[in-house]
Amino acid sequence: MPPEVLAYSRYFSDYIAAGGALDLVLTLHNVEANESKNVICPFINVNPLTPVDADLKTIATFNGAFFQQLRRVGFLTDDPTRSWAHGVMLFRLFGKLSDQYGAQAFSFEVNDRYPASRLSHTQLQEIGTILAGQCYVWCVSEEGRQRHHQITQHLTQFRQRRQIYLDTRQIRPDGRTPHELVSLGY
Amino acid sequence: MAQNRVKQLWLTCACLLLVLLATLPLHAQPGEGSDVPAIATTSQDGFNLVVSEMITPSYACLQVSPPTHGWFAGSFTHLPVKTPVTLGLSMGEMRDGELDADVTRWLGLQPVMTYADPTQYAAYEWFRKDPQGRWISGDPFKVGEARYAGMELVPKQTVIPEEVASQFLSSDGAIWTPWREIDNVEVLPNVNIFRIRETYALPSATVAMRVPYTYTYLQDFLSRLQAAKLPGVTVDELGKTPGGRALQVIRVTDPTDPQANRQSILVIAREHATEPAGSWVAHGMLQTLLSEEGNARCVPIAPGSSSPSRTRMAAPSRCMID
Repeated sequence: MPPEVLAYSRYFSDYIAAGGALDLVLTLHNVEANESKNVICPFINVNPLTPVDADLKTIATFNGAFFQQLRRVGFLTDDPTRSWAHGVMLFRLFGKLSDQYGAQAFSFEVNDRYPASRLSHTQLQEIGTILAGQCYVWCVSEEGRQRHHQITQHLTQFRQRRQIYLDTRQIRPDGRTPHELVSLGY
Repeated sequence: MAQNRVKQLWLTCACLLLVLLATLPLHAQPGEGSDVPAIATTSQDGFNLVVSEMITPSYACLQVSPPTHGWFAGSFTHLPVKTPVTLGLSMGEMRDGELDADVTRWLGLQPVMTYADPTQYAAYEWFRKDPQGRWISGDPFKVGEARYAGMELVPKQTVIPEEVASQFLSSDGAIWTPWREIDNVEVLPNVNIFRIRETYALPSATVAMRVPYTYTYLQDFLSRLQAAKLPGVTVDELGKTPGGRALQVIRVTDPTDPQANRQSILVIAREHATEPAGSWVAHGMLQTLLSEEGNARCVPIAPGSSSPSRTRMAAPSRCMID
């Protein structure tokens, strides 16, 4: 197994075990010149704590507000309710963290080389500024607070299961196997 | 009769000469058969263009190594100056019914170039004019008077020679970055070649599909971030990749109450090595959180936030936050 996978798995499992939580997980990618507008949502990663319909609505709301702010200052975006695919991407870090720890996941493709709207790296950073603001707005919204409460409860139960698992098998944290770290998130 | 034989001999000689001429190498190898040094590439962090053949002193065939349509970048030396230079990116031939990389993915692409040394931190610094007409650096580690870079047509900077610096102004003259676009390009789908034509003012330049965000730059940025000792900002070291690169997480927390039960956001950029644009977006998120303006906008990390649940945000680079 690649050491990077183990290192990040250990880092996040220790972070969660120590009482940390992940509310939002964002993954950022880029496409080529004519493959998409400046910002699109390529994949909707379904959250394990939420019914699919509600989850789709959450993502559409977040993306809708984010894309609206982008368009207001001249960036081009796709329809916020559309994506190339949806499901659960367990083979990607963001999908794994969402599945194991309940984080709300968002994925975005950015394209600074779109022929109709090319961007400088300064403008790419402006997209980051807008995204940071949108994350904050979501976190302090009623939905964001409810989701935080939901995740907190989920992680409380998760930590209990983890502790029982480690205790019954008499496993010390430094003796966890790749399966326990990566597959179980313990 | 003798005259005919002489004529025949001459014809034969002429044909032989033509054959000999035809077999002379039309395509010189890089640096071969000329006193003028051929265009060459220098090895850089994450760059993948290599000169494979010189058609003429001002036409270089390049290989994208390994073939990919996701990314290209190369730092060139010995570029002929003040004359059009063509860089032809050969994307490989069809193998087993498939292309290694398909140049049609670059229809409409305008790459970028710089005369700055791409290994320097300042090669990615941008400037913006404020309402008073002063150039202000976008570098978050420049504070006070160090942020200001004059009021001339272009900002005071050290990476682009003054005589060509105006080429790098935005169309409205309000933003300056060391990178600009190349608009003379050609996609040849039938031979899977992408041509970039440019007249260079200097013999050394870097050409890339989009502005790079290199590991070298990230490490330089992180060194400055750690040296700044900003409250609530830490860089966690998780280990090394098999190639010896550091695995890192940047954490930004509310310095006024680090133990509060707040929300956390993780940003992952650059899961794919050939996608630097995501890194720049993540970089923008981090810069926002580190800036005074960002603190004001993102109330969560501002002292005295009245939000019911303090939001803690972190920013990324290769991977994440908290």
